[in-house]
Amino acid sequence: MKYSNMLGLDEFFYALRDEEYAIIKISEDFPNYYKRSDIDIFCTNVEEFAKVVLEVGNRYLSKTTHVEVVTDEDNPHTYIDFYFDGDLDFRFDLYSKMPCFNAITTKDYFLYSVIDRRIKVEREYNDLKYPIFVPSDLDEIILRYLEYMEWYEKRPDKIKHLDYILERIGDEKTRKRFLDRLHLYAELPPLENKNEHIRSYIISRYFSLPLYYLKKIKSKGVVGSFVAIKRRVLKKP
Amino acid sequence: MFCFIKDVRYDYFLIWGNGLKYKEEIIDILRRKPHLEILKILNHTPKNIKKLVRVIYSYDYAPFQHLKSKTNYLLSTGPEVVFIFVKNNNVREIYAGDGQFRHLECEYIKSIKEEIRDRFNERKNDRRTEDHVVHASDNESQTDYILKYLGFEKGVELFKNNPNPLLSVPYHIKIFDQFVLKYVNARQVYCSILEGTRDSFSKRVLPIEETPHYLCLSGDIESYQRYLNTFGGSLLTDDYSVEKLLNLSKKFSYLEPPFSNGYVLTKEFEPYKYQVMDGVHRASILKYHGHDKFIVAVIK
Repeated sequence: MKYSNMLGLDEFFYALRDEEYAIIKISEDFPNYYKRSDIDIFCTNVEEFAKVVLEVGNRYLSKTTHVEVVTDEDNPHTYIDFYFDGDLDFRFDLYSKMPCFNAITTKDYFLYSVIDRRIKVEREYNDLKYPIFVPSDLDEIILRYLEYMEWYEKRPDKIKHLDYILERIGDEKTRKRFLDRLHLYAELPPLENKNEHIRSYIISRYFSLPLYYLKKIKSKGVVGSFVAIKRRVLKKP
Repeated sequence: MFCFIKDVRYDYFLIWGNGLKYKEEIIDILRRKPHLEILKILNHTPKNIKKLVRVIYSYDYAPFQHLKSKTNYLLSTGPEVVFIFVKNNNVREIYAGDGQFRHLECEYIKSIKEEIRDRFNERKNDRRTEDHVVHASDNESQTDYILKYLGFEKGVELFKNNPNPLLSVPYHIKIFDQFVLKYVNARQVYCSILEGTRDSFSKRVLPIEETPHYLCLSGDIESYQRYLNTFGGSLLTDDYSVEKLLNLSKKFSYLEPPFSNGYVLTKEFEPYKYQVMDGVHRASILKYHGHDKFIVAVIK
């Protein structure tokens, strides 16, 4: 498959060199990319980060190129999609909060910890050296583990994350550090509606009959209810 | 000593009837202050000037009896006043006054208020009288109170509206979370322009080159001035002026830092036709300078 490379990613990340961010699961091909691919980025300040992306993106706009932007406060996600000739070419996927995982809940400050512990990878753009930032090895393993846990049932291709994890936590020491950090930032989601189950059980077990009679009394009135009960009692052999 | 706890707050200046003849000069002083951003200019004609004086000073921190004698002169000035609401980016709050009259005020706003009073208050025997031409808020709660008094239910929250975190868009645009950046032909761009009088008006969607803004740039200053005179301070409450438009045109470079996200904001009202929601001045300047195509943000 051929790379698209309609956007010069080095140009973007050179402009972003002063921002606080970490590229998650960076592709080995970076800065090359295939059409319709994306890049996931944790940012301390998504607004500032996105403004720089758009500023560089302005240079790419033409009659056949446009950019679609979605900002969503509820779902703390910003997408910046570059289209060439009407086709999606590349997406910047920006996070200001941890994405929601169903399988494992993570603490929000994990995102900031990942950025704080980020590591620098030196690159070059127009003969100028500049840094890009990626998570530390251990954080990268945790992030891939979270994604694998979330998707392994539905997306078999996510097995690549498991391979990555197994390859990197081979020794006992790393495995322990991985588990310690995972337990620090992640927890199993709470059992949904546990209280609700208990409540409905108690209501059905102990209160359904009295509630039934209360309803009857309400609809027939006190006297009418007594008449009905009397009739029923008299009917019984 | 002042403290920098807040980085931004919202204040207002009020030009009393005796200062209206200096309105343009006073607004120009505010416009030139690097840390002030004029958000809203509102003409107001109270039914009863006495009541307005009471409302303005009811939130003051001096005893009303003292103020009563100080504000007597206002009862004989014209009934019309002008409110100028500003974003203050240089908050230098201090506690002033003593005892029950101790209150928070901003030294920066106070210094501007005094500068205006020094220049425009009436002078007698070569000294400034205390018949003030302007009043200014001591703190944000006063601005909030006055906005609510004028019928803006949200108070200062009105100005805190951020329609989209990625774009530089004024507070009065509705919140939106999706937009597209694209090149459009200037012929596809239309502007909503007011017609009629302040009391009986309608809106018409016109091509850029028919707007008073574009006509002003082309030399017909009168059209734009008439437009501002008719609707400024009532239906148009942003800070506009002929001079501001002409100056902007001289040094305009679209989407260059620090305004790289200052896109002309539009909405597609018919297929391939875009109505400007914010940026009629910028669109007019672009067209006037011969840009037949330019980038716009289209709200989705």
